Amino acid sequence: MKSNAGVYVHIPYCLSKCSYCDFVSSRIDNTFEEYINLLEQEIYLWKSKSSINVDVDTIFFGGGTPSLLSPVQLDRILSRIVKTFAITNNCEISIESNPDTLNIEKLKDYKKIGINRISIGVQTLDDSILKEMNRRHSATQAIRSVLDAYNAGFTNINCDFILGLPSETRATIDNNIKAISELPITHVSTYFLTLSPNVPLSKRLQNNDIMLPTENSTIINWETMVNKLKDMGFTHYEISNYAKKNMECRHNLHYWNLDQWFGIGIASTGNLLTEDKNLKTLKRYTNFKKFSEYKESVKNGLLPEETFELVNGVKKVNEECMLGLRLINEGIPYSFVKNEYKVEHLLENGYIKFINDSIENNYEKHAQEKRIGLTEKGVLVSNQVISSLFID
Amino acid sequence: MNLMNKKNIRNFSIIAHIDHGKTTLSDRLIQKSDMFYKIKQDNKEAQLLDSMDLEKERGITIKSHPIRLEFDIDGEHFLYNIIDTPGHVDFSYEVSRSLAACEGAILLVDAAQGVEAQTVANTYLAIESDLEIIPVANKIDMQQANVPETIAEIHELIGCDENEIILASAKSGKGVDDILRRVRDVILPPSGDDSKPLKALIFDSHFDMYKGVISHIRVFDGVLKKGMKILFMANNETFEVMDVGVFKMGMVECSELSAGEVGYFTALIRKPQIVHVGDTVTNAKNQTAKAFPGYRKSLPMVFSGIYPINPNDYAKLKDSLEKLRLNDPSFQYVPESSDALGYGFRAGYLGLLHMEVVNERLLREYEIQLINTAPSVAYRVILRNGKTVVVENPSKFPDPSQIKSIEEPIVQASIVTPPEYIGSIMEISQNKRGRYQNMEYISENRVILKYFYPLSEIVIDFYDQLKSVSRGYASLDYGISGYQEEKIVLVRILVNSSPVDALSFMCVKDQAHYKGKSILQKLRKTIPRQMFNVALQAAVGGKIISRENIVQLRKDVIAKCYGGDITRKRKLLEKQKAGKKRMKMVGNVEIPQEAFLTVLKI
Ligand SMILES: Nc1nc2c(ncn2[C@@H]2O[C@H](COP(=O)(O)OP(=O)(O)OP(=O)(O)O)[C@@H](O)[C@H]2O)c(=O)[nH]1
Ligand code: SF4
Ligand SMILES: [Mg+2]
Repeated sequence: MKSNAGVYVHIPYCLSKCSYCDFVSSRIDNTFEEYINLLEQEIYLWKSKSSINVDVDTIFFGGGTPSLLSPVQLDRILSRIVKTFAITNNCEISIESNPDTLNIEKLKDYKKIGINRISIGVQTLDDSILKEMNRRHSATQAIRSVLDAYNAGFTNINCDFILGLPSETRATIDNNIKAISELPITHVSTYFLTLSPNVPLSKRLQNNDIMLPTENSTIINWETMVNKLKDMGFTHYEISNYAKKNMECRHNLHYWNLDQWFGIGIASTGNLLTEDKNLKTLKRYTNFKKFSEYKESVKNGLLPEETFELVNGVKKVNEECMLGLRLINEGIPYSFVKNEYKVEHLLENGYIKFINDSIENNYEKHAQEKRIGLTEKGVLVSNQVISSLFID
Repeated sequence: MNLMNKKNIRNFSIIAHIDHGKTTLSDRLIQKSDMFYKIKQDNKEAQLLDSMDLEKERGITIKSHPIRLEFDIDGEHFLYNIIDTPGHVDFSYEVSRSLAACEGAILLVDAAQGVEAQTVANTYLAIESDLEIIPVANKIDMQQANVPETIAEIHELIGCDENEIILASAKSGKGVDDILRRVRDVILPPSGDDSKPLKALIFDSHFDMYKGVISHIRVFDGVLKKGMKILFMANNETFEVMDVGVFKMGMVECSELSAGEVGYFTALIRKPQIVHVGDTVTNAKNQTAKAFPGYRKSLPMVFSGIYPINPNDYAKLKDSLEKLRLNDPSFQYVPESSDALGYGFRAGYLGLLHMEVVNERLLREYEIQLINTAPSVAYRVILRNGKTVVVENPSKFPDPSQIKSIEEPIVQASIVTPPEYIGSIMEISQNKRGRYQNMEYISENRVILKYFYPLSEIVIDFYDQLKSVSRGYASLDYGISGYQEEKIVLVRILVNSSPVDALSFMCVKDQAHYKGKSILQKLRKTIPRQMFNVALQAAVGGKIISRENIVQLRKDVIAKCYGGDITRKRKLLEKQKAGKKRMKMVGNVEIPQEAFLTVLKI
């Protein structure tokens, strides 16, 4: 059975730069409107491609700050996608947003044009930390936008949180957890703060202006968060994602299942099956990162692909291992493992476990074969565990 | 050799302290020779004689390269065989081999540096071999050159007339013609007899993939020809000569080598062990009466385990070591095995630089990744039962209850230095357990300090320290002088309670605590955190003298992984995996190669 595909649209603009951020995003400027036109043209370029003979059941606007798009602009892009790709009935259409760019009216309009899932960059609910991170919103604003989204009719609401932030304490975490429990949030993403050396926050750390929490307290905070989320009825379904029942992000699942997806826009990555369907080789392309190059390509009627790599053989097996293990309750078949000694060691020490066959929704799928997956302890050192299971 | 009268042959070496200009002078002589016209100017490399990459990089000559040059001097044709000798403290053995094949030596002294420790040591070797010595003050073009003082020092060293010393610049070519004439006038032509049975001396060898061992020889009597049945006298092995030739810029075949000549022969010899430097080659059917007494034998002084990082490389390593030993007979090894490192070899080197050079060659020429264990010297352990055992491998250290006493090797060292550094040198000598012997002024600005040191103290970083406290001015030469009783203990390093034999070492009792502690501290920094706690301990006998902990790795970065992150993330994990593969498993602890290297520098 061929799986459906996703469409990812990148909006590389923000109002200002957060102090920990090194993503491809630039300050919003007069190219913004032009970029939207280019996106429409780029989407149109796919029309003639055979690879679009696949049903698209998720669309995701990511960034940057896609919520900078007015409902009208968003609608233009969305309609173009709908006209170009074969969109399924129950298509999940997500948008990432930052609280300072949202209001109830805008959210209602988003809902109206078909957006049915919203992801809000909350990060933390401590105002002084938000300030240090150069976020443009307060805790109150963040809470407000969750409620606005709900009141605008969104029933699928994700909030992003970052752990291990400077001056974060147990109280910070408790406060975040309390808010999650009280708000109509159906999905949570958490990840640890990672800093590249050249971002402003790194400089502040080097100068000892601020301090990161200790490894120990970050671990405890993470464990607390995981346990509390579980108590609230969230399933820890992916290393850094938690969802209420049936509220998993279907778009992101395409990534983790190594399905196909189209990447649209500057610096976007797409992943499509090549003609060589028997070998299941994937072509993973990445678009130009520079506006001028992106623009020139699209203007010339060419898909703005800058680089690509073919993913098959060992690469693909290892990606399946890596992504499969990210999905906590899916894992990978035991038969995948080449180094049994290594696995015994990981099992004995509680980094991986056999996934319980009786988990209802997995039963049919995996009854035939034993599967292994990460334990909570294993999630914390997932890089170590996964890389040790890679094949050569 | 019919074309040339033996009277017109000269065989000589150039001896000098490191960097005093041997290679540059040899290049200059090549350029003056008839051969030069056959070398394309634009192909000329920085220094013609130093062929190995490694030497280029380090700028020092490790192997001696013979070369045969022809000159027209004052209307007469001459054939000079020059042997470029190495100048580093670890390689004096190779100098002695080259000298035995010569009738004379050019003594080259950098006029900006003056006489140095190895100038002295090599000069004594040349005098022992009864060589004619031609003193040359080199680099007189340099501003810092102090010609009068250099002349005075050379005079002091060999007692020659001051006006006999040639003033030269190998760089500019000044004095080079004088050198060529002096060689002709002072160095005796070889005195052999072609009609006597063949008697040739092996002074070096190297290995060729197709031709097998190529023996470098100096013929003293008789004639060596293609097809001849020859006998290696030391081991009584007979071979048929395949090729005979001489060393020009490359090897050039010729029909024969007669008495007095320097060249090479091949005989399809596949086993490197057959060809011993110092051995005598003779005609199997018409043998010479007496073999050469042999070279001054040089024994390895520093020992260390060599292990392939990848156990599958063992056979390749074995093969490479064999080839390496052929090109470098002063390098020795025997197989050994280690619990932590598997199968490998115990190697003996002349010194620490020699060890580095060998390891770099293995990596570079043979592409084998290695782990070296901590270098050690050979201790004499006297047991209670009266027996004496030589222990150079910590894993062979006898049960302490059986030990009566232990003696360590002592060297006598000569350090030549400007007087202003005497104080600092005495200070480092104190730390290295040195025993002062005496001090002599060679000139107003140059002193020879004589010291006794335990060999174990100077093999590690003494040379570097000496250079740094004297701003590079002091020079060192040393030789083994005997053994001395000392309280030596075995320090074992335990990783999660399993002893890692490759990290164990022997040292003086008083230093055990300090050394054990600093090794553990370095290990703590080089061993990555594992998925469990790792306890590091240093122990003498049953007693733990130091401990460190590596706390468990409990947290990686939990990062998101969406469409655009997958490739990067996969590559990151692939890299992590590759990094692990280069590590050695000790029990279930992964120890990176650097961890084994840290011990080298304690
Ligand atoms: N100014 C000047 N520099 C010289 C002269 N002779 C040699 N040098 C320089 O001194 C340095 C050492 O010269 P080498 O010929 O490599 O010395 P070496 O004695 O062969 O050194 P090892 O083989 O390492 O013992 C090089 O940088 C040469 O260019 C000279 O007459 N004058
Ligand atoms: S909103 Fe997101 S993309 Fe924009 S600067 Fe902040 S962290 Fe970076
Ligand atoms: Mg040289």
